Order: sequence, then structure tokens, then C-alpha cells
Amino acid sequence: MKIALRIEYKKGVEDPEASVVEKNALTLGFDRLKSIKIAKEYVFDVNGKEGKAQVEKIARDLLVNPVIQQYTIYERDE
Amino acid sequence: MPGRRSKAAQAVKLTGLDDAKLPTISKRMKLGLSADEMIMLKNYFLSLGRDPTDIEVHAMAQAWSEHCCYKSSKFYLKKYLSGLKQDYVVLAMEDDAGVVEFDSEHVYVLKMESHNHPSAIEPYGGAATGVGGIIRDVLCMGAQPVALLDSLFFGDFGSGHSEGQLDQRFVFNRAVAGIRDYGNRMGIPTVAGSLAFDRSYTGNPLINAGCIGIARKKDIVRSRVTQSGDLLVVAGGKTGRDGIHGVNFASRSVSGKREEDIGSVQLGNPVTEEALTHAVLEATEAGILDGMKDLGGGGLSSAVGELCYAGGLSAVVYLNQVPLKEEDMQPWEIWVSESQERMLMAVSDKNLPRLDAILESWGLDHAVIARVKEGSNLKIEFNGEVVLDLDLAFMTSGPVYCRNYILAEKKGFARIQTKEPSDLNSFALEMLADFNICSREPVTRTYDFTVRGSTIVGPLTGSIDAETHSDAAVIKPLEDSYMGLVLTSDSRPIMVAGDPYRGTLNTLSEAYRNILVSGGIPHSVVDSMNFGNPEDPVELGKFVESLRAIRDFCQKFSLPVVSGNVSLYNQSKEQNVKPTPVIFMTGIIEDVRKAIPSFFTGEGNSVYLMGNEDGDLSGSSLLHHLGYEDTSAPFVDLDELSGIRKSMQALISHGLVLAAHDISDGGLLNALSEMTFGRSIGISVDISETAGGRPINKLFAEGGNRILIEVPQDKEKTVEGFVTASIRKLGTTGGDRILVENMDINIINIKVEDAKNAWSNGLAAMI
Repeated sequence: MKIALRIEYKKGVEDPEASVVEKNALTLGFDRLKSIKIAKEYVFDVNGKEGKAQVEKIARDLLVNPVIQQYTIYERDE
Repeated sequence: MPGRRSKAAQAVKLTGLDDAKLPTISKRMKLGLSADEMIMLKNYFLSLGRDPTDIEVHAMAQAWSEHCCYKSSKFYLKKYLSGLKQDYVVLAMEDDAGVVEFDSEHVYVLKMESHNHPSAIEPYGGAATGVGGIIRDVLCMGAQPVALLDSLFFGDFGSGHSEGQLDQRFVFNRAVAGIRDYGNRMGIPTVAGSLAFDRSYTGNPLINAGCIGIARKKDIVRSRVTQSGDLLVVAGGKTGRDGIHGVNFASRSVSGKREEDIGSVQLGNPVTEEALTHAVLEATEAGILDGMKDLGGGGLSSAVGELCYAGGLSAVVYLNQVPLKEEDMQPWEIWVSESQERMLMAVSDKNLPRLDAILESWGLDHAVIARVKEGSNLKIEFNGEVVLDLDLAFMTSGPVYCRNYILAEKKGFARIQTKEPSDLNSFALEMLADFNICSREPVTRTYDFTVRGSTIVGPLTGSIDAETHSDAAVIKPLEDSYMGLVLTSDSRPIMVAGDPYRGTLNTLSEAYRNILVSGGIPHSVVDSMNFGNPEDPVELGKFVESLRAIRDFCQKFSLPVVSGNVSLYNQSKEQNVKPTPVIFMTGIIEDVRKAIPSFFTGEGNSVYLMGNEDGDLSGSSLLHHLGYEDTSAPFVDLDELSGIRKSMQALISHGLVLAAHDISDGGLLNALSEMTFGRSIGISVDISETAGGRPINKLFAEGGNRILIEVPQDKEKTVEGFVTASIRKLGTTGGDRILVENMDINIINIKVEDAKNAWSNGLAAMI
């Protein structure tokens, strides 16, 4: 089973990378652009429900800084 | 307050409330105000005959926070530090940063601040924005920032961490990374600082960042607006919900649960600040700014308030005009947000188009948000409605507490008798690898300390691959002059914990000697005071004693205290941090080409010890290493230091000093070892004649005003003739070993290479 872990900044946290991309895209004339958000996705190959629970634990103990980041976990194809 | 997203300001029903219920309001709105302060607030609005709005209450809470109005420290700061001014000081303790004459045309601008509480929650963002904030403090005076310093204090790695606290290795690595990324991306070199570890900082690390800049005298922009009718422009980053309540939070202790403090977290954006720096300097050069202030703690609320109040004026603020990161912010959130990289500038209608053009060309968000006017009341309009109407004097002045303090009982002169190690050689290597003594290279190497091309001496110095610590950094801030700035930032928390007065004197003596041995003349002092809970009279007593030491020292040496910072409530789980006054001292060197190295430069030269020692181990790294707590601190003889200064200057002006190094952390043996590292040149000394009794006292005592100097062997007589202070020849440079003789017995025999390895790898386990 493939489990995806998506980590992104919480709302309101400064994201310089996104604002640079946004500014440059606007400079290039992509005028329908409203905003950009950057997230990071990990894909884990695990066994069963227990595996999914372990991904959750990996996220909390290792990969996510709960002060500035939030995460979602979902099953993925392929 | 999630759930209620009404954009208008809400009334806070305060005046009809029972006094006993007021603290609940303070808590619910996260104001950080005490019961008495809430009563003052209530009485003020009773006299106005109305209830306040939420934005008014939040504005007051910001202005009255410890961070903004120094309510617990102001009384004592004034008592001890006012009047420490010299005639070459342009601005001391008045504006956002101190301004001191450099040469006839230029001034240097400097400040140091702590960012302790944010760094405890989010070390990377906290430390990075600490650097960003201190750069803006210097920039808002109209100065080009030229160098950064940082003094860092972390918890004990060995002691682990309790539930809800971050791992100390994580805190250390992330905080260092934050400083590295912000400084490096801004293109400002991080050149000096200090690093210490102690159990008491677990859960409440101290991050002190300092910045120094250079400006032409005529370009200095004041942190006040004196032209009625001027416009206030906010430029740089947009305003968001990050950093709301930062100052209220900094005015209490860090709570156990990090998630509760989430509203206070900011992440920096150095890319914006870099552009902002260029724009500000361009506007300054054009002479179109009538006043400027950076947005730091308290956000717009304190910047607008203080800028106007300092100039005896007030303003009408159009809050809708502020560029926002998020659409649905409430007026109070906009007003107190501490979003980073923002600057507030006062400009006339006539000059506004020029300022607009400059800000546009650097791609910065900007907007006119207020008009300055005569009168006593600050007004804020939002959606055509007046949401705040307050007397600026009442709002900005804040309460002043003359809290009681008590001085801890002196422990008397009880020397701790440590066991003499059975093998001094292996113990010496163990001490060289101690966290508080070993090489700082793994940290300093991550900082770009040569960017801008003006760093003459950085934190590391010596031959390539054989570098050692320098005593102070030397910067050449002007292209067409060889005159330089000599920078050091020091702290001796172990000594200060033992005896705040003597400990602080030791700190100052070390900073002073760091500048002397680098070839500079001490010129100005900035203090960054990090202490525990001021409501505890014993903690406050330590603060007061430390201030008294700063006054006594600076009076004795005619040094001005030009700016400073006080951070209180540094505690976690009922444990206060060790009292930590950080001294950022700046010196002047007439010609940077005459800077003195801190390492032995050649073989066969004579090594002298200047200054007396008494072998007092109190407050030493040795006792800390062996696990003894809060002992005492060695005596500092200021008259002796005065003599050492004169002697050093006489020797240096005659070109007699090949190298010099002060004796501080780790004592004589560490100082000698560090001198051998820079060029891998050994040393052989005889310490039979030095005072102190047992070998470990002689080798590891850290007190006194001692300096080691390397001089040419054929100039010994001349050297001795120039020196009025106590001076003693210790030995000769050469070979590849560190050899120490005592009473005809060899007590230390280590290869320089082995010592260097132990010293270099001390921090490796932490990185």
C-alpha cells in the first residue's frame, strides 16, 4: 500500500520560496495567478493498517514541526 | 478568536466589571497584563466614560509589556546607566540603536538584542528573525550594516529533555542554522560572538544577536517624526497573523506546551530584507526621510506610537491601507502583528513620489498608512470608523515598577578543593574538549564571515588548516580608510551566577582585554541583559548587581554605554536561567594592518604573562566541568587593568607585540594551547613562580586581568622597561609540543597536534 504524507506550512506562516515564485510568475505576465502554496510530499510503501499508523507516527516524531507545519496522510495509487 | 470573523472592532466591556474579574479578561485575550495593570486600564476608561475597543486593549497591552516599556528594569537602568556618556557619543540610549563617532565624517551604529522566547518555541525562525530584527535596528538609523555578532546559550546535551521541551541538540542546530541562513543570505558577515552550554538554559535558550553599521554623520535618521503633516509609509513585508502577541509572550515564562504559543512564531524572509536594506539606504542618501523606525516587538502599534510620541506629535492611522498577507484580519490583529521585514518611514507629501519610486524599483510592498498631526491623541480609522482614540503619553509611557530586590548572601571565601587528577595530560585534553572551551569552528564555519570583503580578522585566524580562535573580530568599514572596528561579545554566566557583581566585572574585563590584545582601543559598550523572573527579588537582585558592575567598570574606564536590551522572565519549569549579561564591546584600531594575531607567530620568541593571578578556581570552567554549581567569582582589580592597558598600548605602538591572547575560559593552559594552534608552533613554559598553589589552580584558574604576549627574544629588556603592570616571563615558543614545568617537574607534555584534535572535535558530537 502506498501512503502519502503531505507537509505544508500552516496558514499565516511566512513562505519566502512561494512568494518568490509568485512574484516572478507575475513578472512574467501570468496575470490569472492568485497565490502559490508549496508543500512537500513523501510516499511510503507500507504493509496494511499498521503501516499507515506508523507513517502517522513517523510524521509526528520525525518529519513535522507542529509549530509551523501541518500534514495530511492519504492512500495513493501507483 | 476563531469563529468570530467580524472585521469591525469589538467593544470590551471593562468599565462595568468587578476588579476581581479583570485578570480573566487579560488571560482570555492573551494580554499578559497583571491584575493591577488591568485596574489601571479600567480606571483610565472610566475617566473617559466609555468602554475600550479590542484594538485599544491590545495596543495598551503591547505598549505596557515588559519588552516594550521595560517596566521592571527601567528604574534600575536609569539609576545605574544614565550618565555613562562620552563626548564622542552622538546618540546613547535614545533611538533604536546607539550612534558613536568613528572619524570626523562617519559614525558607527550598533545594538544587540535577545530573541530568547521565540527561539525556545521555533529555534530556526526565532534565531533568524532575531538577526533580521537587529539588522533593521541599525538600518533604521540610516546606516549600512557591516557585521553581525551572536552570543548563544544552550542547555546541557547530556541532561536530556522533558515532555513538551525540544531536544537541546535540535535547538542548538536549528538556532545556528537560522543565524547562518539569515546573515549569509543578507550578505552581512557574522564575525564574532560566544557560545556556552549549561543545564539552566534547557527549555529557555538565549539567542543574542548584535549588529554594527556605518553611516555618514549627516545621513543619520532619527527614530522620531518632528514634521506635522508628514506621511507614514510602511514598506517591506506584508502584515500577517504571524507574531501576534510576541511581546506579551516575551514578558512571561515559556509555558510547557509549545503549541499554545503558536501565534507568536515568525519565520524570516531575508530576501525581502536585503531589498529593503538597499531601498532604505537609497532613500537615506537622497535625504528624503524625516524619521524612521523598524517594526519589531509590538508591530505597528509600538512603532507608530513611539515614532510620533518621541517627536511630540500624534497621527491618524488609516488601517485599511496596510498591505496584508491574509484578507480577513481584524483591526487589532493588523495593529499588533509582528510580521517581519517591515519598516516605517516618515516622509513629506513632496518627497513621497521619490520614496515610492525607490521602493517600487526594489519590488517592495509599501503603502501610506498614516498622517502625522499635532495633538495628544493617536487615532485609528478602519472602514471609516474610529476604532482607537488614545492619549499617546498614557499609552506609550507605561507603568514603571521599582520592584524590591534582595542580594543573595555572600558565600565567603570558601575554596572548593577539587581532587587533583591523577594524569594531568589526559585531563588537559579532556578540558580542551569541554563544550564550553573547545573550538567553535563547527558553528562559525557555517557563517559567511568574509562577505562584503571588509573582514580583516574573523572568528577563526591562523594558517589554513591550523586555525585558532581570534580574540576579537577586526572590520574595515570604509573603503578609503585603514581605520577599523574591533568587535567582541562576551559573557561569563558561570561567574555571574556565583557572584553577579564580580562575575559581570570579569565579563567586562574579558571584553576589554579581547580588544586590547587585538590591537584596538576600547571605545563603547552595549549590554544585553538576560535574566530570570524579576518578580523574584533574588533574581532582580542579580540584575541590579550586574548593572552596578557595568556602571563601576564603565566609569573607571570612561566607556559609554550606548544601547542595550533587557530580557526578563527567562525561565522554564520554575528554574531561572543563569543570570547572563552579554557585553558587546567595540574598539577602534587606527590601522587594521597593525592588528595583533592571537597565535604564536614564530619559533624562539619569548612568552610573557602580564597581570597577577591568585589561582582562584571559583567560577571556572574546570569546576563547571567537574559538576560544581554556583561557587563564587574571582576578584577583578580595575586599577591593574588600567595599567595593563597602558602597557599594552606602549608595547604595541613600538611594534613589540608579535601575538597576544587573553586568559579567560579554561585558564592559562587553554590560552597557551590556543596560541599554539594558529601556526602549529609549540611552547615550553615554567610556571613555578606563578601564584596559585597546586598545578590545577595554576593551569585552570580564570580570574584576574591576565594577558599572554609573544615578543622577540632580543627585545626582552625593552619590553620589560615599557611595562608598568606586573609581568613575568613564562617561556619560549618552538617545537611541536606544549610543555609545562612546575617546581622542576614536568606536569604537562602534550603534542600540539593531539591538543588541537581534542579541542577541534569537542563539539562534533552535537552537530
